[in-house]
Amino acid sequence: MIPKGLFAQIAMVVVSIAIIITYVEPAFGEIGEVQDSIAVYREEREKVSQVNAQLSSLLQTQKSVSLVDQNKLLTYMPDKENIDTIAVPRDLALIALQAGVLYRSAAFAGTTDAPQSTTDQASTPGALTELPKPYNFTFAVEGTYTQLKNLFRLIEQNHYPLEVTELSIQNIEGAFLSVDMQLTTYAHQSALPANEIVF
Amino acid sequence: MPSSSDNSFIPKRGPVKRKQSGSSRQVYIFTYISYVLMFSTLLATGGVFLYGQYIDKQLDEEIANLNTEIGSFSGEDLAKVTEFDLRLQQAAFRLDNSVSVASVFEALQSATIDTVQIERLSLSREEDEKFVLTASILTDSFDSTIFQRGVFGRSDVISDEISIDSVDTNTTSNLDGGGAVVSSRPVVNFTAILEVPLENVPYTPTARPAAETPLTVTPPILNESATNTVETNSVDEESLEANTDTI
Repeated sequence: MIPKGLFAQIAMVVVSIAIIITYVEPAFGEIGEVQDSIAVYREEREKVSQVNAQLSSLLQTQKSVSLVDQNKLLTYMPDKENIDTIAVPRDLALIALQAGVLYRSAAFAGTTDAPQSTTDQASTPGALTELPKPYNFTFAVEGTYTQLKNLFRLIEQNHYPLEVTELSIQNIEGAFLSVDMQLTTYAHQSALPANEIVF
Repeated sequence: MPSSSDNSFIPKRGPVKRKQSGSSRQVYIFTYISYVLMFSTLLATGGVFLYGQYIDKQLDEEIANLNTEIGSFSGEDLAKVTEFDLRLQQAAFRLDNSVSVASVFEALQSATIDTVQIERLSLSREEDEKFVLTASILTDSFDSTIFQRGVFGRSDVISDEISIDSVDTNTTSNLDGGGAVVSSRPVVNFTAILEVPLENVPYTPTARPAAETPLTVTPPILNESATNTVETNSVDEESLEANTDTI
């Protein structure tokens, strides 16, 4: 006959094992998973924190750029809506006046699509994904060789880019040359549509 | 007198102690184990429960912290910085590719021999790689043509890929007032296609004495041509204002 005490002891062992199997062990598993989740959340929080710190630092750097320099940048690479198709021919006429050449005409000749970066270029770190948008202008003048060289020097010194993309020079009479050219200036092209941030 | 029993050599026997049997000792160890196991299990259960609560609370805190950190992120600031950076990069990109057309002329001038005359010149910029110059040239002989080709080839600015074609000979005549030919000389005309890599003619900023010096406007002198003078000066004033913006 089994003594009463021994039966109780066996029951205690069985209950203990049952508790371990049904509660303690699964609970340990859940705790492990929660700890893993905590580690993941902590890691992600640190990443977000780093991004915030970096963004804050970059914002400070941007704010540290003087207003004069910011204005110069905006003049050099204006937004599309700030490309004035009348102001540029006016500037060209004034450059012609200053260079001493005879101004014949200057006009807006339309825009062209910005060349797209190739896949290789786009995947290169630091490569430009969006290139500035070209705006073309025709410009025709007459003058001597020296005056023309002076004209091109002044065009190079402009506050915004005026790149000579096409040029044709013809001798008209005496030492006078007739010049027809196409100049290109650029507008800043945003990488993202307005108010759209992709994470 | 001591009693006789005190003097006995037979050792006194104490109260009888019952020896524990082997089987009862085994039961005691099992009891001990079972109790230890039971209490350990209960303690572990309580500990696991409490630790689980603690860990859950910690997870909630981490989630809340992450949400706070995400909430403090400003998409507007990021857009501002990104746009500024992109604008800077685009400006730097154009600056890196800015070239001097005047330098192209100077290179062409220094690579042109005296007996050669350029009649027409066209220039085309091919992307950000090179300028392609097509020049219609007149010279007095084939020797000059050959010499000119060599000079172009030796230029540091002009690329080695020089194409000279459409070589043709003509005769130019000097006529007198009556249209009679006084003298005639043979000419050779040809077309030279030259390439100038952009990296050979970079724009290097220099001091701008002419552009930076402020212009002074002379007040109009009232005389017979007063009207014309005023008109001229009004143009100068306009150009002064515009020049400060432009040049």
